Amino acid sequence: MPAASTSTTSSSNALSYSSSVEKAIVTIDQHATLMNQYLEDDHLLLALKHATIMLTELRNPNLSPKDYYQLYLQCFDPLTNSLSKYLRTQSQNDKIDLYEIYEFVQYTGNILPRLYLMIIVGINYLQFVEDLNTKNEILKDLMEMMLGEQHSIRGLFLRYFFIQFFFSFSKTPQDNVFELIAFHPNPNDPPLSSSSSSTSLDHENDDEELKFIITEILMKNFIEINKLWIKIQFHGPSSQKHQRHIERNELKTLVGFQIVKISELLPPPPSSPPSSSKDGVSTSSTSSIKILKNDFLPLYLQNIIQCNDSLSQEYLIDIYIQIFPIEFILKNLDQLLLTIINLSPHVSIDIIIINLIEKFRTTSNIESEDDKTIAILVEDNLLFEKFYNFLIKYIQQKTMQTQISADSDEGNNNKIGTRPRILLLSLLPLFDHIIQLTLFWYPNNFENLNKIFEVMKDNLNLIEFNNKQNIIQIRQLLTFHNLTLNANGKEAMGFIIDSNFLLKLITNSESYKSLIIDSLSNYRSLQYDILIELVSAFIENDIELQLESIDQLQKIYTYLPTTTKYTVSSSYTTKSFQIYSFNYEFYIITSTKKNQELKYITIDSQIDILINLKNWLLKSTKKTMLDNNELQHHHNQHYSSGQNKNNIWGIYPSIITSFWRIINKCHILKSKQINDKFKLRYNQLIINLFKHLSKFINDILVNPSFSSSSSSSSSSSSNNLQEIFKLILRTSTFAQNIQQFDIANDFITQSFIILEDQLNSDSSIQYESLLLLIRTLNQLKTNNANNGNEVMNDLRIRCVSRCSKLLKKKHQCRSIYLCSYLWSNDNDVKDKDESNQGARKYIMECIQRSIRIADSIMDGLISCQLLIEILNQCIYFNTKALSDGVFVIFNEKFMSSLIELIKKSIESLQNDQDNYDQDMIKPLRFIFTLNDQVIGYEMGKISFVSKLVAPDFQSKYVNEMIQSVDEYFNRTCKYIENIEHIEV
Amino acid sequence: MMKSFFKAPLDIEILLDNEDSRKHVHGNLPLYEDGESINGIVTLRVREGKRVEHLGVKISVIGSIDVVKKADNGTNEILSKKPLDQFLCLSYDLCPTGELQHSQSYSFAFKDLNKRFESYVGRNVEVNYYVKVTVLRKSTDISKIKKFWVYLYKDNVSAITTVSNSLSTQQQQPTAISNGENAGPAEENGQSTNNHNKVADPQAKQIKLDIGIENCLHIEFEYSKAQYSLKDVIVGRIYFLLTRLKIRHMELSLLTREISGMKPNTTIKDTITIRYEIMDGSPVKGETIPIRLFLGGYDLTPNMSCNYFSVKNYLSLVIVDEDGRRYFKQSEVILYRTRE
Repeated sequence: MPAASTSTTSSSNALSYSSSVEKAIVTIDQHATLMNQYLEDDHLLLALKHATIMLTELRNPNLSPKDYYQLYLQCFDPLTNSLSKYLRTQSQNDKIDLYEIYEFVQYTGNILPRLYLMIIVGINYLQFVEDLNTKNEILKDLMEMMLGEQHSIRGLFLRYFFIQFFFSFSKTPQDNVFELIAFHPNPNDPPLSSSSSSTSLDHENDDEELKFIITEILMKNFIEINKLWIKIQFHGPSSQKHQRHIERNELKTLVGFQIVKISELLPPPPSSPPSSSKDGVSTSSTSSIKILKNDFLPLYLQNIIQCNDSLSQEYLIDIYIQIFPIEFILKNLDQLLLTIINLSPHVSIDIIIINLIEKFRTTSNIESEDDKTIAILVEDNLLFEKFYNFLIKYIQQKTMQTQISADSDEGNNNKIGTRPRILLLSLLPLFDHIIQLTLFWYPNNFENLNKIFEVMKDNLNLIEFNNKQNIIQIRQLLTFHNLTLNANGKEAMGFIIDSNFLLKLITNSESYKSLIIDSLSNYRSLQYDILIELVSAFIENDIELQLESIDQLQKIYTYLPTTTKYTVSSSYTTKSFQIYSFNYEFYIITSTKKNQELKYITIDSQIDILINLKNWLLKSTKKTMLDNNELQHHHNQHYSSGQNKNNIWGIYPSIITSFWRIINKCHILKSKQINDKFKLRYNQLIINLFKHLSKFINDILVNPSFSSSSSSSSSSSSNNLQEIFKLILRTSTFAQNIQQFDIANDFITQSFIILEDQLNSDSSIQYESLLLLIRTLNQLKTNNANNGNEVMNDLRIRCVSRCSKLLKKKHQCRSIYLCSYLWSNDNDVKDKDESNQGARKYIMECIQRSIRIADSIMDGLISCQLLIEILNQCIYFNTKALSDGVFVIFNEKFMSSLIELIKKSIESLQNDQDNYDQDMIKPLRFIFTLNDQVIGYEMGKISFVSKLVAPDFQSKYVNEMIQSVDEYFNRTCKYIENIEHIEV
Repeated sequence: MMKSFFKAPLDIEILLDNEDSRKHVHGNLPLYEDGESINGIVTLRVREGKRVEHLGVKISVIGSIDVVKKADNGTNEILSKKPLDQFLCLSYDLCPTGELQHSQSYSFAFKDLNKRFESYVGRNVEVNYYVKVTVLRKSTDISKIKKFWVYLYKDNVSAITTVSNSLSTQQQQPTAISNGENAGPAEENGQSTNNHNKVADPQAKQIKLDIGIENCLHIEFEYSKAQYSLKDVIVGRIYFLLTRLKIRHMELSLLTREISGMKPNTTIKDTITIRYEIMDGSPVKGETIPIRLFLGGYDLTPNMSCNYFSVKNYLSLVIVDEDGRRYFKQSEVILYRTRE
């Protein structure tokens, strides 16, 4: 043997690898064939020589992982099939001594082929050694010798080969290990044929052996393989770092394979009955679990931490999660989580956690019934507790690190900024995932959520709010945006967050509230965004809210008043108002629910909230005023009162309309109630609401912002005033509609006060306001049967006197003759002759007064116009009287004198062609003649309507009408022509 | 005369006792050891019908150190050879002057022959042993030599008993794994089967070195012993304390150094006898690389020294970096021969 060995070594020393992959493949093929031939001829030593040459090809350092793998595969087959088989059969027949061969192959000069051959021979040798210690020594020896291979890729493949070969001896890995452990000279002997006592002894030994194999062999191999894998990135120039990274990813399965094999040592899931029926196997399987748990896992996790390489850590944790059965992971979750905490800060922990949670989820979906372990773990909130503790520890640790790094970096400020950011990148998703977890496993346990939010609240300072991405994330997190999105998009989370969930969350989680309300108070825009999203979730979802108690409602309240505190900047005011109005709408929704009892409650709460809202607005406007003054003092006009006020003015009408709505609701409810007691109650409610409304309007009017704004810019403030005024009038109309006439009257009175006290700047506005007032009054009069009362009369007279105070005569005149309507009676007039008589008197008075004013106007055209209008009015009243069957108010004499007056003024206008455009007079004349004609018919007591459409009447006047239209058209055409000329 | 000049008038045959059963080494030479008697039979065959007169037949055993000049072209062709020292020369007469008429055999014996040196064939020096039979004649003497080979087994020597003591344990542990199987011989030796013997024995001096290049490489290596038998295994390890070097591979070589000639005209010839890769690729800091080199498979020369020449063995640890630079550290080891 020595002589032969010398020749082998000397020749292998001279060997070198081929220059290209193609050549290498040819070489490998050649020598594989030669090796096989020599094996057939029983020339083992020569065969080994060719195996060495073949393996020398694997020494090439210039191969990419892919090429290397190709060569590896090519070598793998001849080595494991023919060579290994030969060794085994020859050894079985006692023709060769594997121990000698084992020593012999160590003469191989190059380490890589030497190690491959050692593995092949050594592992084959294991099969023929009975003594456990010897076996272990062989394995240990292999492990130690493999240290000589320090080249990353070559080493990876070598160790991969070791594992592959080690496990390739039998079909199932478990059998394999036990086969390796307990050698049976005759392979036909069933493993459990020996006596029972020795079996148990065997088991003890087996356990010891398995433990040894796992800890001493597999884990050592794994640690080394991982080291080699990490080392790849340090090869070559740093410019190729990316390339190295890709290579590492390509090679990671080699690392993972090891873990896969270890995981296969675990017993198959209990679903396969035949294996579990044999008690021997079952005991051994439980012991294998124990060993994996006690010996493998701590080592494994410890090594993950120690290797301190992010890619490696990520992959190894991931593969552990993916490969090991769920029960195992669950049972050893604490260790795993503890490891995750200690991972390098560059590892994206959130991905790991989501994978983990995802794994739990998918497995539970698949085998929901079979799996008792999961059920046990999930019970009692255990799973959540674990993750929760993990979260807390993780944060603690990270904050500590941050502090330490901050302390140490005090001198050089380079890294202060980086650390916390690293932490945060993973922190938010972490929260997210754990929330998802608890939602999935414990959908009804809001205490969990509460805890999470508590933690989040406490650690909010860790989150950088400068980062827009962070803000978005927080928002999505707190509004469960991800979850809802997932539910819509894919079946990702498998459950739907509905508004009921949010409702429950709000009502059950204190910390959620305090998080949003208190902790986020420095980030208002965020806070408001969240609130808006929350509330809109209530509104947008059509799912019925299932409010269970008043308590729930009250809790929801607590989200609201706090917002009143934050109204510094205008944009927030709008936002917070949005929240309010949304909330309000939310109440509307809840109130329409079918639950009768609740309906009653919700109305109250609606009222409450509305009043809150109102109070808030008032307070806020006060506050903004103060703030703004300060700001103005300081520097700019940006937040000027005008801007702010506009916001307030934008808001309050909707509050008023909200009041209407709620009152209307009460009204409807009231009308539906049969019980008088309830009716009375609703009535009281309505009246109270109106009182609030009225008070609100008053408060707005006396609001400092209002008064200050009215002083600062008169035009906009009068617009606002007019707005209020209109709203008051509408409120009054509204009150009429629901039969609250006294209230309607009150509001009109209020409107008068505004009109008189404050709307006194602009005449045209005053005029418009008056017209509105008149209309409202008229409506009130029409609706209210009891129109003769004192209040009404007062209002009318007040109205008229107000009209006469208008600045422009034209306006005075018009408004006054319109006031005449106020006394006109639509309803049963005949019954009340007396009051009717009084009314006629007032109508007459109004008309006469307006005629006087019209007559006194200097501008003939306007005067004439007004007169014609008045005439028209008179005709209306007369026609009405005729149709009602009462005496006409304006007798013939009055009418004719009025007509005469008009005729005269038209004539004078026609004559005074210098001052008045005849074209302007024409339509006047036309209208007048029309009126005149009507009057004529009236006198003949002929029905107004029938005569109005009489053909001769038409032909006569319509022609003239058409003519004037034609003229106007021609004039326009001419004008356009002229313009064209100019342009050309 | 002419006849006898052209063709010797008698054939001399030297047969050593049990020659066929004796172990043959180095070009099929029978192997002897120190103190072993050399016995045999010399047969003088006279040609048919011839008579040979002689002045006596003498047998001698000779051990000599020769200086050899070999061609440097690698063919090892011997250019010249001259004896330097004959350290052994014993002879006596087999028969007195007389006449040989027919073939005759004489047995000879050199009892308990002391052999100072091992047989050796080196680059410049050889140590040869042979038995020489000379038939003295008035005219040219007829002589015949019979070479034999000599091994010196150090475990005979009382001076290194401790070494031999550790050796026998070492022997039953050629690999770390063979424990169970080789338990038998260990018990026979009556020695402790405890493997820790090696460590416990204070005489088994380790070689432990701490070397490095500043800020570049710092390694610590140790060989289990400084003295090895030729069938021994070199076991050791290398501990990398610092590696900035991109190492391509590391190998262990055994260097045999032959120093010949008298001072100051000594010539040194180095021969790399073993070249053995022990590491491939670049290790990281803290890595420990095992060394295990079986010597038994190689044809090695044990250490020798005498006035005229000496043979020393060195273990050389060579680190080759990726640019092909070689860094090495040599440390002397003593190789000695033991019985199998």
